[in-house]
Amino acid sequence: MQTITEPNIPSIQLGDITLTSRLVVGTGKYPDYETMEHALEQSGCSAVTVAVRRERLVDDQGRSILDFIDTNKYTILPNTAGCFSADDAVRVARLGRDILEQIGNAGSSWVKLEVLGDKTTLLPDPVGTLQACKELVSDGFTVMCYSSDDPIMAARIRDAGATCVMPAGSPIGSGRGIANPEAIKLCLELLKCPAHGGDPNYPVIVDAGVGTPSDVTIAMELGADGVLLNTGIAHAKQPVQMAKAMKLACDAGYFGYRSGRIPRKLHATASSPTDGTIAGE
Amino acid sequence: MITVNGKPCEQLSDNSLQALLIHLGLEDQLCAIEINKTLIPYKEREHTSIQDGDDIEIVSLVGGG
Repeated sequence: MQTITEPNIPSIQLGDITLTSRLVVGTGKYPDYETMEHALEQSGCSAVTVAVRRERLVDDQGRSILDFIDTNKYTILPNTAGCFSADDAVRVARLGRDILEQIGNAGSSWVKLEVLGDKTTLLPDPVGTLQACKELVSDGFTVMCYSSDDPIMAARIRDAGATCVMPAGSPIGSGRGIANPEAIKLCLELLKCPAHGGDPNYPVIVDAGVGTPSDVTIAMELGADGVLLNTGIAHAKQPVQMAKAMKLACDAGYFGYRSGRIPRKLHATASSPTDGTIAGE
Repeated sequence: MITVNGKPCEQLSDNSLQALLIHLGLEDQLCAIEINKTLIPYKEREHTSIQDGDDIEIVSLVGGG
C-alpha cells in the first residue's frame, strides 16, 4: 500500500519571488475596485498583475487601485501591456519598478514582459520580445515573458534569460481556452525535459485566453506550473464566484497531472465485480 | 513650453520637477516619472530640474492583466 500523506501544492520560486499559489490574477476590467478585492481574495493568488499608465493616478473618488490591493499580502507584477516596441516595453518596465520600489513591494524585481505585434490579435512580436527580454535581464529584472505557444520561441526566450516563459493559451481576453494543447505540450517538453535540453524545474505559466475553470485545469493537466488570467474572472457575471472556481480548477489540475491518469481505452472496463451477480448470463 | 503626458504645458518660473508635481497636485501621489524617455528615479526627483522643450511622462499603476 502506498504511504498516505495529505496532498499539498508546493510554492514555486521565480527569482527572488515565491509564489504560494499557482494562479496569478490580473486586476483589470472589474466592475469596481471592491469586486476586484474580493475576487483576488477568493482566487487564493499571491501575485497580481497591474499595468502602468499615464494620468489615471486616482479615480473620481480620489481612490487608487493600490487602496484595494494589500501590498503586504500580494506581490505586484507590473506588465508592459500595450507596448508595441522593445524600447517602450523596457521603459514601462523601469517605470513600474520605480513605483514598486517606493512602496517596498517585492514586485519591483520582476516584470511581465509583453511586446505586442498587432492591435487586433494582441499576439506577441517575437523579435521585439527577445530584444526587450535580453535588455531587461541585463538590467537585473526577473523577466516573466509572454509568448505565443510556439515551442521554438519559448526556448529562445528561455535562452535569452527569462526566468519564466508564459505561452498564451489563446489570444488575450478571447476566452477561447487552450486553443492548441499539443503546442503547449511541446513548449513544456522543450523547456522541461532534460532529453531536449530542458530543466524540469524551469517554470512555465500559461498566460491568456482562459475563459472557464476547465481551461485552467487543462493547462495544469498538461504540466504547466501555473496559470495567469484576468478577463475570465473580471468579466464573468459573478467575478468573485468565478475566482473561487478558478482556484479550485487550478488545484484540481495540479493534483490531476501528478496523480497518473488512466490510459484511454476503446472498450469499457467494469468498476464493480463481474462475479457473483444475480443477473443471468 | 514643456509637454506633460502628451499635452503642452507652460513652464513654471520654478523649474524644479518637484514644483511641477506640486502644481499638478501630484506631490503625494505614487507615480514614476520620465523626462525625454529617461527614467528619473524617485530618489532623484528633488534634485531634478526641467528645461524648456522637455517631454515629461508621469505614470502610475492601474488595473491590468
